[in-house]
Amino acid sequence: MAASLLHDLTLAGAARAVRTGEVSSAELTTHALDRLEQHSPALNCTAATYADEAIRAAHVADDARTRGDELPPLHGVPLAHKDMYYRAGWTCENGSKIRKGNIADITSTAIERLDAAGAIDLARLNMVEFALGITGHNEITGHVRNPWNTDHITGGSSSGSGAAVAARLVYGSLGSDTGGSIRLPAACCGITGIKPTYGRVSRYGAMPLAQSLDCVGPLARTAEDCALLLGAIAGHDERDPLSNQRGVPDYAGGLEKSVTGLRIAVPANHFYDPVTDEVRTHVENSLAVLRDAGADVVEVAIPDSLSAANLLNNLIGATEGAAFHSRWLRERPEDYGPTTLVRFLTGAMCPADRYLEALSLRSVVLKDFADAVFTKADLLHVPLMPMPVPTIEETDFGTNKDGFPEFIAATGHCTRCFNYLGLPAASIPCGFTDNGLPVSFQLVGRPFDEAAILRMAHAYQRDTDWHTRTPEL
Amino acid sequence: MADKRVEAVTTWAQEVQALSSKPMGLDESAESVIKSGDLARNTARDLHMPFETEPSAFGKLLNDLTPDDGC
Repeated sequence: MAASLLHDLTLAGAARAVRTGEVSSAELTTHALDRLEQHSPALNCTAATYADEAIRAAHVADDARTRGDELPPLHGVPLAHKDMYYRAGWTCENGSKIRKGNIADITSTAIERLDAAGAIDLARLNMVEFALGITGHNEITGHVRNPWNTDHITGGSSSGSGAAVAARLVYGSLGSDTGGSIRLPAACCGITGIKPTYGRVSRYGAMPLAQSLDCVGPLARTAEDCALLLGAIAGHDERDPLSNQRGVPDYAGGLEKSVTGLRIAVPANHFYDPVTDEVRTHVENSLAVLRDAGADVVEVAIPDSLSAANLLNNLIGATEGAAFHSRWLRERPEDYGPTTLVRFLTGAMCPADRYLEALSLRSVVLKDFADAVFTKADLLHVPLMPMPVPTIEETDFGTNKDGFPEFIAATGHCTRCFNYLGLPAASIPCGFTDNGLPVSFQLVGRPFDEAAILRMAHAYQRDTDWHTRTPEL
Repeated sequence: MADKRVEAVTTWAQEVQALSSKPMGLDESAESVIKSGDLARNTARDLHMPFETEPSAFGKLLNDLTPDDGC
């Protein structure tokens, strides 16, 4: 296969090509490493590359195919992950100065499971400092750049993952999502990402931000790619006691099931409050595609209690984050970026009773929400990034302090509440705004029903080509 | 009233965190945590949160709401 075609493959396509011998894992891996080396400097998306290890693993994968071994689903496919997934012996710096030079002494469960599924691990990708931020800005390691226009934000905190997958440098990446950190980079960069249900994927060996909210999940080009990655990493892990015991469906195997009769709820209130007309038009157009694919659409009233969810999510996230960081906040406050320091201090100031109230309210707000939405529908269709993707300069805390809190509140308006509720939610690209940057919609499902989200997203991507558009680098 | 609360929380945070200089935006953070904390309290009151509710109720409800094919 011509080298110029290799990076146009989806993850699923790359896995098929390796399996059939159309291309070797060594060819794919070398090509991905070359592209990382060539394009990472402009995008600032790579924290560390492990080329020798990756090439060795690719040759082992090719030998297994030559021998006729049974091949796992991601056999020989190169990936790279957010710089918060530990692999014993590799650096893991979390986009920070405080963890500079940190060498992991354990390997995370998600990475182990991707290894078992045959994936090749190339690199660690840049991220927002300690994953605490949703724009992609990083005052320590530099801002990651959006491949569609390097003046614009990538979204965060899985900023390097969004940029590297969108730029066709790697076929997929693990991110993490505490308030939108998988879905916002996926949306800003025009790729697909899914935050699974709270507890669906083990967090063992992943840097913690807020243990009540953190979710591990994939960013990739398509819903099919996400289905393959999620299928590989999901499931109970005794090393993460909060991971759920239930079994894992065959996400990829269920993608071709009909969506006829699946009911999609659209909100009569709340979600569109901060959404611009331009974004609204694209999101509503995506709903028409889903209706044409066979989905039944019903309008639902979002309960007033959900309006509290975003702030309560912030309260829990900042408080738990401050607890993890309390020693460094005392001993090394000058080593945090100023914005990160302020965000953690917000949590350090929260009284314990308010934190516990915010946690206890989750079941009450979830019950309200489920009664309103899931008694009438299987999925909820809502916007994601409410405005066209802004520039880095427009949204920098240092240069735009006046509008910063409002911008951050609006950006997370459609994402944070689903971390608070623990529900699965995916970002699916559905067009481009006039500034040439991508726009996406969001599908939200019942607890542990990622399969319905992925099936509907796959049906959408069968009928549209937004996910196939590639930025010119 | 609000200004005094912000000042009190700011002072407290500086002492607890042993910070030698006031970091950028700490006043805004103090306002934010007061606003969020008040919201938590008000929401708890408005929703008539039962005395018995615990964080573990959330995990149980997630499981109860899972469809049959969620495995």
